[in-house]
Amino acid sequence: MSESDYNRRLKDAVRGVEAPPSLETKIRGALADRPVSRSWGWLLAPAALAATVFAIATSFYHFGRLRYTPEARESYIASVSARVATLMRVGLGDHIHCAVFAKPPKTPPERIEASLGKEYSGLAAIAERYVPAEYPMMTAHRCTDHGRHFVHLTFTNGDRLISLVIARKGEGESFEAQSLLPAMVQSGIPMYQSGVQRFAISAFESRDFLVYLISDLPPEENMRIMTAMAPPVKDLLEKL
Amino acid sequence: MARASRSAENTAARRFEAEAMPHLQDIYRAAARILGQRERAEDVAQEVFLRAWKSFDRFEEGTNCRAWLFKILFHCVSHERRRWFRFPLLKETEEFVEANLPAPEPIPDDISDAQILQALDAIPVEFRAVVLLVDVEEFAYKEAAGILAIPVGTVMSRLSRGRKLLRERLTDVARSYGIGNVAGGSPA
Repeated sequence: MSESDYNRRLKDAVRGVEAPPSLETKIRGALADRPVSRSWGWLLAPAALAATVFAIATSFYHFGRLRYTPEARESYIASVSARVATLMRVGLGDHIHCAVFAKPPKTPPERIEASLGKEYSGLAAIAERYVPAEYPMMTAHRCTDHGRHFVHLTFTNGDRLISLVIARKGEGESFEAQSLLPAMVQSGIPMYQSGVQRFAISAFESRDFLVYLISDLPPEENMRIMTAMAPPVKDLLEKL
Repeated sequence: MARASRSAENTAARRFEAEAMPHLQDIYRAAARILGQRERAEDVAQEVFLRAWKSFDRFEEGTNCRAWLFKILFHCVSHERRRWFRFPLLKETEEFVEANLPAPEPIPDDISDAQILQALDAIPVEFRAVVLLVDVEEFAYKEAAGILAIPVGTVMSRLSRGRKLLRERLTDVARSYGIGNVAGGSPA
């Protein structure tokens, strides 16, 4: 038998077997009793979408976005601040209150010195020297949060924020006195470090001031900038 | 809402009737050859169509309904027979068969359909499945691989071995029936 004959005979032999006529009837009967399953995906899709939006919104809210009322913002600041040392809250609160939420308009370069006041003359130049060039200065001003006055410089690349926050010490306020352990000592200046959520906090103190650098940068990068600018900033503050 | 649901049901039923039901004979025949029992083949064929109907909303219109039904068939059969033609069990069988295959002999001309089926039923099911799909049902290697959930290369090797085995069995069957009119050969 040739190969083609053999193939044909094989097909004919197998195809010669027919299903009993009753099988088709039996199957049709069984099918009639059962509904086709429905894909409920089209009904679940809006619910899934709503759940996703809710999850994203919750996440954003948790991390400080979507806080549009003063009360919501205050509760966020309070919840975040609660997770850092008391003295770290001073700078962190102002950073979130002012730079994150309030977003004051850009300070024109010619207005920077005037905004800070003549006693802080030179501070902006020092900060600009040490903050990476891709983060240009956005604002330089004095602001008040919960009755406390701050000197506040912000830098941003449009995505990440960096704040240099300076506050005059209140009574008994000192990192050293509050037994905080410095992360390192740079040029004789103890440097303190903390962080919560996306905020990296580096700080040091002069005789009369608490100085904070708070940013969305990695903690080590934040600390590197702060240690670099700490000596000249401290020198400037010691003269006040 | 209920009216829309009924209308969708009717549309699905019409589609199922047009696309799936014409393959009943193919499914039954393949089931009969794989299982070796017509009664079981009837049950399995019914199960195939019930499963197909239940998941018909997932069948993509315009794709190969016949291949889809065969895939369900082999899934049912595999499930029925505890996946006995899956790989781990096969390797040994394949190696054994390969090592024991005699040289192919010519197939007698006057062999009957029943004897061909007897020979086909006598080869191991993993080879029989591939021979059925490719040589009888004329699925492409890739389609057969999809139906059996095995690589294309495995389909090709099993087909080659299955064909050799089938020829060998055919010769044996013919010999056992005293059929010796082999084309191109001399009668015993």
